[in-house]
Amino acid sequence: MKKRGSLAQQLASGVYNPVERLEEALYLISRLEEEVNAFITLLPEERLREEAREAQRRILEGKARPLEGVLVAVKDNISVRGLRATAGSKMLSCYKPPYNAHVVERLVDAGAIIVGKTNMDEFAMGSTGEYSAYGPTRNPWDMGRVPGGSSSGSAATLAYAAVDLALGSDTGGSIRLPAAFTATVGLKPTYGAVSRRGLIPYANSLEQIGPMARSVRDLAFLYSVIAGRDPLDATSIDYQPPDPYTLEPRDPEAVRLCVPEEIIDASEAPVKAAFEGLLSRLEAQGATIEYFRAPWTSLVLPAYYTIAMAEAASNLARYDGSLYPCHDSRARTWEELNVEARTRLFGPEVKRRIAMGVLVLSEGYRDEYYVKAAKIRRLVRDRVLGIVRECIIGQPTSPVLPPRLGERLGDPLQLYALDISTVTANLAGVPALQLPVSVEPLPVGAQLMARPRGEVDLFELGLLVEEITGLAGVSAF
Amino acid sequence: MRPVIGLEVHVQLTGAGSKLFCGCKADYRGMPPNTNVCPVCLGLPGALPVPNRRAVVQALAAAMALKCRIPGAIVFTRKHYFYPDLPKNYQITQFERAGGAPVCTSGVLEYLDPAGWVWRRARIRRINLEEDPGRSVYPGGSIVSSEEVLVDYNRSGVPLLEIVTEPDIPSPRAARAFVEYLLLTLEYIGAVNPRLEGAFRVDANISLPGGERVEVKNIGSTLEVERALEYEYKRQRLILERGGRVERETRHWDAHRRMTKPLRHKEEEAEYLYMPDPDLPPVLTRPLLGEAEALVATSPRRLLDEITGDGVPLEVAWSIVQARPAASLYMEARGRVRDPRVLARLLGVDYKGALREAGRGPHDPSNWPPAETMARLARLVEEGEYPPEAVRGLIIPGLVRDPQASLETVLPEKAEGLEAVVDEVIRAYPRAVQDYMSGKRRALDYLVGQVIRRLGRRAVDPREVRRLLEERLGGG
Amino acid sequence: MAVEDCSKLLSKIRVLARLEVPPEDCERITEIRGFLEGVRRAGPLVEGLDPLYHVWEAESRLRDPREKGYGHVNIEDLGVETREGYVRLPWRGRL
Repeated sequence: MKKRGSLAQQLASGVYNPVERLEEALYLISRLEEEVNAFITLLPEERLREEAREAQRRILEGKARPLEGVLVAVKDNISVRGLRATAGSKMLSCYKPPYNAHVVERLVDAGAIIVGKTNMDEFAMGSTGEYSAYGPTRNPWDMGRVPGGSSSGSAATLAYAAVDLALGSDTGGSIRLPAAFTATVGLKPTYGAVSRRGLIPYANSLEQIGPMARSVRDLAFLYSVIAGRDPLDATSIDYQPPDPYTLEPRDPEAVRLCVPEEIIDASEAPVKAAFEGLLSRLEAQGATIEYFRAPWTSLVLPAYYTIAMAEAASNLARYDGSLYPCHDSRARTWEELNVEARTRLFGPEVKRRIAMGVLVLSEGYRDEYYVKAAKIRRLVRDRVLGIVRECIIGQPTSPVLPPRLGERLGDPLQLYALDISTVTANLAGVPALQLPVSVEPLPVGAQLMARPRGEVDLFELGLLVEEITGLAGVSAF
Repeated sequence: MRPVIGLEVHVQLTGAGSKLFCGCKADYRGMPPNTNVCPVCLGLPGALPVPNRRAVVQALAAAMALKCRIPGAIVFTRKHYFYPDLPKNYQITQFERAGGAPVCTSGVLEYLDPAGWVWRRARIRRINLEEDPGRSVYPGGSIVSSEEVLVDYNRSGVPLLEIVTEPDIPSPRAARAFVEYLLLTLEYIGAVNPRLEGAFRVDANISLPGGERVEVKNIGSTLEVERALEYEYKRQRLILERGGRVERETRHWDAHRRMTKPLRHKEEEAEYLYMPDPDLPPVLTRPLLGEAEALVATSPRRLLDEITGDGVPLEVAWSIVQARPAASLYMEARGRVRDPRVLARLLGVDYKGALREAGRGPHDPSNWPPAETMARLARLVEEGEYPPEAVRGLIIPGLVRDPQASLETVLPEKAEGLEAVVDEVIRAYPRAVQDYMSGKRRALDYLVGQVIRRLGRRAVDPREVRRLLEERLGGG
Repeated sequence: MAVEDCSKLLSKIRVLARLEVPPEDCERITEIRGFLEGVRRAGPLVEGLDPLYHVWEAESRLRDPREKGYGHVNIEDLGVETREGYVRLPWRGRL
């Protein structure tokens, strides 16, 4: 275990040295990447060195941009022009996007150095990182365990400190769950706060690109760069992210935290113990902790998966072997081409989700499944909005400690159960922050949920929690 | 046996400027294949649609022109089917039952059927605003047999209105009239130039008493609407008369061979897995209605009523309205003439006919003279200043050649003005006069030619010159 | 869901999703379907609710047709097979 100083502070005080930092990162990559498998694509070292020298020059000349020379990892479902974007799938093993994602444009304009594209569950469908066509990612805190998914590589590379910031995407917990398993910080933003343009879609109405880091302040820094209106995303909202420089920890006396009993009950003992430990320390400092019942909790997983699978079946229809060719095809007809490409190149979990998505949208089933799920989403949103108007919702991010590799692979329902705590924020469109509460014996994380556009509340409370846990900047190596 | 016909007309919004959800051009004609494409209309992963405001306004204007019920919000829906020209394998459209709302439901179009000059009425079931797919070429023959397919995505994403009627159309001829009138209505909105290649396509349903409904696809012109339905009507009638059964099926119109061919038997209702498009929040219609209303202000029907209200026969009025520039001219000039019927005839019959003879399009405003020219010409005709032959044979062809010419330069010289020139010529060419007097008829042609030459750019009726010369020279 | 239902479902998926799911997956698919059926437990809780989630608060921005967004794409860069600029794909095959 190691603790690193705040990147934000180094940047602000002008002591950040991109050339030195890159050399350290390249060393860690050479030592750990083969085992961890956090990256699908790494940029050539020479190119990275050149970029670091250029950033260093700008810093010395006093021309540093907000993220000048900062090392960033980008999840492989986010488009970087000319750089292979596989989304963890064989289907896209040759696909090079001809355009940049909106967030990538912002990163580049802010002077960040993109180190590579990170491993992930295929098309972001998975909660452990094991459903990647490019092999599973391992958890740097315990190489026998999963780092969580689907943003497995982004979380893992932060945990072994090859980068200082990372982009993930979160459809039902895909940023927060891996952040919880790797003792890092991750935010699922308010729906519409970050442009989805250039994000290879899984379930458009649920997902957001979000920042990942090793401390709340660093995360807020990245968030201030990527969040805000994009006129080319029709679901993007007018929104000004909080200023990362002026953020202060919230006064504990002013904290009101609401805890859903159902989620606590669903959590295994070590998780519950760690989370309740945090609660009592907050309470000791004067925070108000209230428990509430959330009887809709049993509905959120089926509703979430029904909607996600329906949208997935729709989004993935385009991968038919025609515009994304990358294999020797023996197909002689159009239909053969489609079936061949899709059957050969999609992994088993993606196929299952497409199959179920087709089912829930088909005549005779749509009303029973898809429409019901959409109504449940509405119910959950209404109820959650009612609560976050009054307080911040706090709960463990994962009901369990990081599972061992292969442990949950056999049974999809066991896998889906990992998302019980996280999907609510996606159904409701509200922001949710995950941050570590302990790393002994294994990482456990807490999740905070606020009103829409309430990221500032989450950051302030997050800074307070970091003061209590002392885990800001922690990494496995 | 009377057929029952329903139509599904797909009209591109060629006037929308850009594609429905991206900045590529709505009019792709003349571009090399796959050069009018971007991540959005190629459906590349992560590219997001943003609706084109002008297309939405034009669609709402169409809905108003067709007296539809317009929803408070347009909700876009994904309609899924695998096809090479559909890059996402779903089309963004609207579908009521999936929680979406079409641009229009339950409208009506009253259309003029020039066979008998009667007004007919067809109910409109709905209008969808949707993306056009790309264009497929089947090099090895037809869609039914080709080994491979070549796809051009230039058309992919062009805004398209799908207009579906109830089965209210009584004959193939009326079906053609319906489509022509519908296109004219949309042209007046500024939504479509129906003369652009591929700007519209028609699918037609036709059934005869005792037979099942047959859908005919791939009809590309208004003439072919009539031909395809006429063919299908006869084919079905023959089967029924021989005691056969007309099966429910989809047939393909082969414009080359002028026949319909079986495409596929309808299996059970196709499954399209409709789902509201999560990338597109609803488009609220209320803030756009004022803008849309302005586009429907001059509808063909309103113009026809105004023009016939001036006493102009319906046929002439229809001829004027069919050419939008003529209609504008009429409306502008009608107040400056005594008898609008004369103006109407000049525009709708004489000038339009002359344009056709000269091979010039009546739809291009630059082929028409200014309103002032037409008004003055109409007054001269009213006053009997020029015989109809002079108007048709000289003045109008002169204007067709140069619509911006001032009226003076194309008006034939009146007799008084000519006399001086004629006298001049008689004085200048005594030899020719002598030859003529001694019976050489050809000498007169020469003299006529000299008069015309001396008149320079001024227009003149050669018959008038000849008459004057003969008069001066004593009959010949 | 019975196993014969599952094989019917698999052929439906073959048609609608152009995807072959192996029959061995039937057990899992049946389980997942049972799991999704959980949405039915909502019962009266969701009665009368509007399923159109995007009615929440959003309203689509409209784009001026002259606005430029993405650059044009050179279709060759996607690695597709072309002929005279057209994307070439199999259709009915050799009959």
